[in-house]
Amino acid sequence: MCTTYSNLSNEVYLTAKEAIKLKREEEELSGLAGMYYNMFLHISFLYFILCICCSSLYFAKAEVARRHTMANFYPSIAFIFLYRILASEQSGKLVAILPFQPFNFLQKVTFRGLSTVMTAQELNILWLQSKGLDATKILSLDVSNVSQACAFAFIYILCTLSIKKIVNDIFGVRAPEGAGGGVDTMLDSPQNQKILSSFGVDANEMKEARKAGKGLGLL
Amino acid sequence: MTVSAISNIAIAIGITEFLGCMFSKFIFQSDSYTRTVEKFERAKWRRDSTVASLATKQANPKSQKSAGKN
Repeated sequence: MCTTYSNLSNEVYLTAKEAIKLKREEEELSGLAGMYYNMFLHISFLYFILCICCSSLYFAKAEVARRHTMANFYPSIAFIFLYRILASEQSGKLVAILPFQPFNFLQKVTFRGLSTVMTAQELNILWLQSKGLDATKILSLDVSNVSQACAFAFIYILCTLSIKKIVNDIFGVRAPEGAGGGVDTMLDSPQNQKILSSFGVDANEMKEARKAGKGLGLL
Repeated sequence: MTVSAISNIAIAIGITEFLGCMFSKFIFQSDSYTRTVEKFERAKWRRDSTVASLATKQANPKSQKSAGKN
């Protein structure tokens, strides 16, 4: 009887101990779950904030890019007028003689505005006349082929690529870092994305295409 | 003739670009542009700080655990 009682009390004691242990484990588990749930909520909230921040950043970036694009647009118009003025002034005139014979596709630029039915001798005479020399007396050896003739357009392109760039580097105003993409940056703004989607353009596909273009150095 | 023609073209392009740059500077000195740039810088800073806190939270979840215990 005594042993049974002690056995029973022992069993009750062990069961109670186990119940306390289980209860403690359950509390720990529920605490852990709560902690992970809190963490999940916190991270989700941060992602939500990040989305808002990104959209406001894209909007601000597009606004800065728009201002820079507009500021660059007016000088471009001025350059179109300048080209027209200079082209009318220099049309049909031989501006320079190239020291090499350009490739066929380049000749379309270098020979632009000059008579295509010109012989090398005629070109030589024209060249000497442009230098202010007597073409009838002196025979220059500068010209060996008529394709060496260089009209205004090629010089204009070379000047645009060199002088314009140098002057812009010295006196120009650069966009702040991250907003210097021009039209490409403007496309990132939520408003423009909406416009693009209204035209049936998938924004994600376009982003991927632009990324690929940047990777290839096209954009 | 040729040297003068080339120099004419070069000078014309240089002056036009210079005037374009001056025009741009005039535009960029305006208050509205300064405000736009400030807004952009603020948005950039906010995005960067959110990204940083998110990265910290994802890389070190124990900090959340200890915070939860406290």
